[in-house]
Amino acid sequence: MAPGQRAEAAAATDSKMERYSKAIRSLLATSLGLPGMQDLLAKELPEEGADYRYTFYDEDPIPQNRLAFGDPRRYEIESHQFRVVKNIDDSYGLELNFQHETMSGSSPWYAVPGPDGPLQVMSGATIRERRNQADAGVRFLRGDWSHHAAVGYSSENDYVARYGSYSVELESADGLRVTSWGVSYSNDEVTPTDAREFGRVESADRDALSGSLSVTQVLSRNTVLQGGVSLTRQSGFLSDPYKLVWIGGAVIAENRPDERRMLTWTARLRHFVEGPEAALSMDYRYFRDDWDVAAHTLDISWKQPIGETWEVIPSVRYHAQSAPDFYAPYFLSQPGGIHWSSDYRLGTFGALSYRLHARLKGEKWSLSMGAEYYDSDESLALATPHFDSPGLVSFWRLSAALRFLY
Amino acid sequence: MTLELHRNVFSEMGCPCEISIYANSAKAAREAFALGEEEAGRLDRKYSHYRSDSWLASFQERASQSGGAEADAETAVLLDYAQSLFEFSNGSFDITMRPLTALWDAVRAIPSPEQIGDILGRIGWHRVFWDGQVLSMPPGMTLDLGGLVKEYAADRIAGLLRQAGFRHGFVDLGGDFHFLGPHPDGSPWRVGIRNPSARNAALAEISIGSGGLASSGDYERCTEINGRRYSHLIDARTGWPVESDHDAGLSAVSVTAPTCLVAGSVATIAMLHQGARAKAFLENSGLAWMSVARSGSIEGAIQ
Repeated sequence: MAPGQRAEAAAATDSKMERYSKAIRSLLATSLGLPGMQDLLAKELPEEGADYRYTFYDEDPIPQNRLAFGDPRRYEIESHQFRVVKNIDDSYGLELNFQHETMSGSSPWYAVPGPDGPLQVMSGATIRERRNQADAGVRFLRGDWSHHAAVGYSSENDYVARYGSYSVELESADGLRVTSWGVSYSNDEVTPTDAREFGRVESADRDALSGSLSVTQVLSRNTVLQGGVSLTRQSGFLSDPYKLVWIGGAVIAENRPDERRMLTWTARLRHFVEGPEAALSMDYRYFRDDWDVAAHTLDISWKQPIGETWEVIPSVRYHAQSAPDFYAPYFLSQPGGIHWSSDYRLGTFGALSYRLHARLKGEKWSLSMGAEYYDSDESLALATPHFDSPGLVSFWRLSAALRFLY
Repeated sequence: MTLELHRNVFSEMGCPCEISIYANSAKAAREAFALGEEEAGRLDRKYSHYRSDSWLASFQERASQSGGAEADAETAVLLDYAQSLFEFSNGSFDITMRPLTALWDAVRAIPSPEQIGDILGRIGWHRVFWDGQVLSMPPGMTLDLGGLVKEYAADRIAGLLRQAGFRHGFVDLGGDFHFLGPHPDGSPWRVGIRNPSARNAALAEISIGSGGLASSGDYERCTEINGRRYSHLIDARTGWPVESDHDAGLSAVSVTAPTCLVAGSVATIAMLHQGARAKAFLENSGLAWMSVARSGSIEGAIQ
């Protein structure tokens, strides 16, 4: 993006703009409305700074009337994220990310038939795990082109992931349109714990290759629209080695297809609302894959500045998805196909999440705090589900982040 | 194809100008220079208050008649911008204050309070009717876009050059800069900020890759009456020039901003504020700035 229109629309989203006082932003917006000024905002690297974010994620215990047996306490994750952005000069910038997570709790295993529908069986022992993730990226500008390349590595005791990505962005001559292309690849290796004892696969791997295209168009002084499509192909061991399936009384490992092709369409709208000087965002995403899963996601947020230093962002997100043919909470007899899964995450359901973020900005720092409540349920689905999925989760997520600009 | 730096020095709007760009050939560079000079000339002819035949002269004449005058798109945005500046500076920056400047320019003695009061009664953007399309003002009132046009021209020429595909270079219209982008190897341009008391000595160096850079200072023009220095900068509210006799007073301010127009306006308003208020104002803006006090001390950091 670039033009006069951009200044207003970007005023609420661009961190560089946020550094300027409201009066300066308004002067800039007016000055960029002059003819021929559209091309002026030269591409710039992201602002240099350091970030720390703490997140606490806590799943509600599974209700007793949905539990067959096992520990009702579900996952709890604490995460610490560090990020540093350093620009070498006007056209080269580096970014480093590090994340450390600790997880504990029990997870849904499989479901069994109950008097009023399926009941969830949870893993008995409390799982305690740690995950570390590090990635590094470089961004460089060449004329109208902006390139970004990154590699990363994530490791936990039973899972290792390596990934890389490359993307390039081109701004149109009139500055009103930005087109971007990207590819990414990941290779994951899973080595489940207690594999022999529980008859789990001992070691397996999977790959994912993904390509994406998006076009961002400035529609008016205050409105920016983005459309995008991405294609992903996953192959290899795509099952969750810890998930089990109840089939006619026997309990065996789930078995998903070893290939999955996914297509995602996205549309994002950013609109700057002049009266309250707020930014309205509406994001819609449509997902479809060759397992016959379809999903719709709509995310609406309102970013409201209060005075020069505060910002409050309430948002709401709705998600609905349909299940693949091989999903059922349990199978009374051997299913027709060769694939089966009772992982509630593949079921037909809908979910609503409500979020509130607040941000306090200083000259060289900002402090953000956020809370989110997520609830998923069959009754929120768009299509009527064939089955109940007793493992459906609800959770709280609380976060605090501190950011310093150099 | 190799990019080479081409430099063109010319005179326009009553000041020395320069366009320096990296181009594939001398021919491409010449085309860029022609584009830039032509645009600077167009804006000077359109908005100059020195020319009685300028478009602005006839526009303000029509605006003084009943019904007012309709502004073209370019002028409309400039007037919108001037109105924002008037509000932003609480009336200190006013494009109708030309008669005040003329009064102080003409006299060799301090004008009498009556003379100043008489003019203050006849000027002021608040007496102008402007609805975003039509401008209507009392007869005899004039518009002076001199404090905006040179900065706008630097931005506009840079925009035209970017549109023509140039990415590395800068436009300098008498100290109002717009940088299209850094040298092709990514290194920034270095601009010397002049010492107000020793015109040719650079006081500090600013590194900048892209965006606008403008300065406001009393070294450009200054009137000395009865041994006291009076800046050419006049506060439209009081009718008096900014007094810059004290050591703590500012003699120059440089500001960088995404556009030269905003950089220039902020530098000018800071000079009008003077002293501690100027510093608070600059710090509040969120823009990068540097000021030189009359004592010679430098504050702020542009890079």
